[in-house]
Amino acid sequence: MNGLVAPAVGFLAGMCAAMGLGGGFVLMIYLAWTGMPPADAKAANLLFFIPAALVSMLINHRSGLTDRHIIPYAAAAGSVGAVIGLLLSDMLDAQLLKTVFAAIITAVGFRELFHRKTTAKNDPSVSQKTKNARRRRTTVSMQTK
Amino acid sequence: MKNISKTYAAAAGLAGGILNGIFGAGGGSVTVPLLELGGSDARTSHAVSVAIIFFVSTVTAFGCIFTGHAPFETVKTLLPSGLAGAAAGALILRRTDNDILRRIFGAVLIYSGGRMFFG
Repeated sequence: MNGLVAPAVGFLAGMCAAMGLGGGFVLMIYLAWTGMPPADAKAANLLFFIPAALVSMLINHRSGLTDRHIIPYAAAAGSVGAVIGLLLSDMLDAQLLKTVFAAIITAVGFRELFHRKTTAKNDPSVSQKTKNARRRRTTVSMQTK
Repeated sequence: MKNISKTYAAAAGLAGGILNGIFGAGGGSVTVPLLELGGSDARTSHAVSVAIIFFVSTVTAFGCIFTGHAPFETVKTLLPSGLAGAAAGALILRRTDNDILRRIFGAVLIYSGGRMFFG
């Protein structure tokens, strides 16, 4: 049974990780179930994510989904942040931090789950100027009819 | 899609990095919504987040190995199917509707938040 569970968990975790959904939530449950200590599970999750993310990045690049002009800056700042986080993890109250973080991601989760479907009307990426121009064109075409 | 400034992207990366450093996971749950808030569409936000967390996880993993936590054997067992899953996931991401992706991500966040609260 365990011979089948591990590949299935690996596949599901890899899939979620590559989609940016966080494969950790699948992997951590499995590793806790196998009896692995939390610190080792955290390390296993990170080590698993690195090659999985590399595969995803290559395919995403070919799909044209990567925003190359921002990734170097975000990745550099993120790496600095990771060092800060590692240093902070020994100093801060882990339980309090966990509770605050859980509250934030639950709130964000509800916002994402029940968000208003993006339409041409409420798309934030379309400027007001473009929307006004579209409205004018529609009005003119209606008048000519 | 609106262009995100480099400073804003760096701030999103920093927030994700700090959280990943503290918890060993969860960086993406902050970078994705922040990138979306900056005007990026869901698919691109997820793809960029994977790239950011790749670098962040490399740093955090070194920290874990340095402190003596290196379960390479377990990772080796999971990796073959994990890489196949990663390829499948990236191909699915390419075709997933932005709105559906946001709702799936929301459900995952609620589940993860609940697990942190009661786990």
